[in-house]
Amino acid sequence: MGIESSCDDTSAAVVTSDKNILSNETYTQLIQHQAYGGVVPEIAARAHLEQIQTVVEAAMLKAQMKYEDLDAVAATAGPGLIGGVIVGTMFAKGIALAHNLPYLAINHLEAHALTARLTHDVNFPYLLLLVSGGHCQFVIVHAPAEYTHLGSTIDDAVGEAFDKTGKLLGLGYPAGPQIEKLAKKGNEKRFSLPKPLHKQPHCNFSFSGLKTAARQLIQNEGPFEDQDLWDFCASFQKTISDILCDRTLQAFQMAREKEPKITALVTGGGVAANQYIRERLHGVTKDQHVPLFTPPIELCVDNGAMIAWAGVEHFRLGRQNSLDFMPRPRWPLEDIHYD
Amino acid sequence: MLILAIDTAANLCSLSIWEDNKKRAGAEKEINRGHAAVLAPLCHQLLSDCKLSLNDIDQILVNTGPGSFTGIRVGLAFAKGLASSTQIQLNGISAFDAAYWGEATQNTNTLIVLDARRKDFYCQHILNGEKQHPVSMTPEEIKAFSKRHNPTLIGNGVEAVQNQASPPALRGADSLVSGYHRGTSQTGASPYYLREPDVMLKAC
Repeated sequence: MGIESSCDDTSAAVVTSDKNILSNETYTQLIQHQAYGGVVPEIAARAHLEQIQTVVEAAMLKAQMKYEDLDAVAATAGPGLIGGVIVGTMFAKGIALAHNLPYLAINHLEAHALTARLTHDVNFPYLLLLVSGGHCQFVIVHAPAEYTHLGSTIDDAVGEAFDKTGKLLGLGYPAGPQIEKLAKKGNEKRFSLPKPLHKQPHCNFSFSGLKTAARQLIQNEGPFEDQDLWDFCASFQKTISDILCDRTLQAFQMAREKEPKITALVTGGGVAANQYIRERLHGVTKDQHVPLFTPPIELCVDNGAMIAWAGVEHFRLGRQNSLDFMPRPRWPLEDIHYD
Repeated sequence: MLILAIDTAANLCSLSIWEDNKKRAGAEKEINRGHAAVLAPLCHQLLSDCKLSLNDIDQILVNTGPGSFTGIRVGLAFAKGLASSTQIQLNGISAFDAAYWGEATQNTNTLIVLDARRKDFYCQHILNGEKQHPVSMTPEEIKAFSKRHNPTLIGNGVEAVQNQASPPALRGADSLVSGYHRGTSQTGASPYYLREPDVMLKAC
């Protein structure tokens, strides 16, 4: 059993060690946050508590599981909005204690990092590009709980750049999927936008310069007619993809210096659901002679199945956590430790 | 009937096991924060000290607040995890009812004052056994109210308001059991925040 509650989705899943997703039930709070243009932590925490029991019971019912049939209970213990993380953690501890099951405190980022191993046959070590509304980083994945951080954003996450720019265009939250949809009708060469850190010999990201340029462009050229909007979305998405591809090239160089036998590029996080970005990254991995693995969209966004799977990865290495594990709002990938 | 009571709504992380009207055992830690780490192991320890498993429990009680938002959620999420996965009945008791029924005698004119971890306090006036609408009051407002109505002040916020308070007969998880036996509990246990989230609509 895996429980996820670190942002605005309450999700629970039952996953087997031979990669069967028996259930993956999600309640999304989107509507409760839309009026505020982003996730409000206290509203999120309250909604998680309201939904958690229904979601977990639905996951058990769909999987046709009894609690005594489970082998372990895993829940996101951070990083994320702590109010929600606490709800999922305490609910999981309750189940674990009631049924004498091992409890696993899962790092949310690690769950994204390992999801591709649930859906594909991916061997360690691999290069991970994690791109979402809250995260943007390159990591070498050596094994569960063994990560080398290569680079991350020095300002905004890439999903934030999508959302904030989308907000200026009046697209609502979250804006990524809408920008992708509108971009299909647009001319990606119409607007020229900056690519911060382009060709710099490291793999950090920066999106604030792009965000500012996009804002100025929208203010100066707007209000947009339909075709302008489509062209802008296409140009903006292309620029972000150019940045991601350039940074990925640098990341491959750095990763291979530390780990010559990199087997693949794996992407994770909500932005990895963008089909255009996937295709562009596929071009990079072709040149690098390694496969690109991207979990299906429903497993790229936050979900219980990835938490359950991270639980499987640790559980079969004989690991579990004590019930006194304290949920953490901040928890870098390199700080995952088991005794 | 065996009852497991859980209270994490304020500074206590408090658990107790009762057999009907008789207390079997209790475990309590006075912590201001960190309930999320302390509660589950403390519950595990208490059950094993009593040589009980959760299967032996017939009824779970939990403090639904008002109190610390996080504390309320720690207790409720944990209690819901325990109860929903075992089909054990779960009931919630408000922090006001717990404080009221935790007193040795119930005064017909009582002002319950609960720590809200802010400048003001969560208050409820009980007059002739009738619960009045709960409100937030500053210490000055509580003093003015007391002058006008002359109630007995009870609850975990009293000491901060008037610098002295006599301890209740029952506190923490024990007071929930007292409230439960007086029929003040609610099935299912919904959180009682009293205060809306602090959030403003931004001009988008």
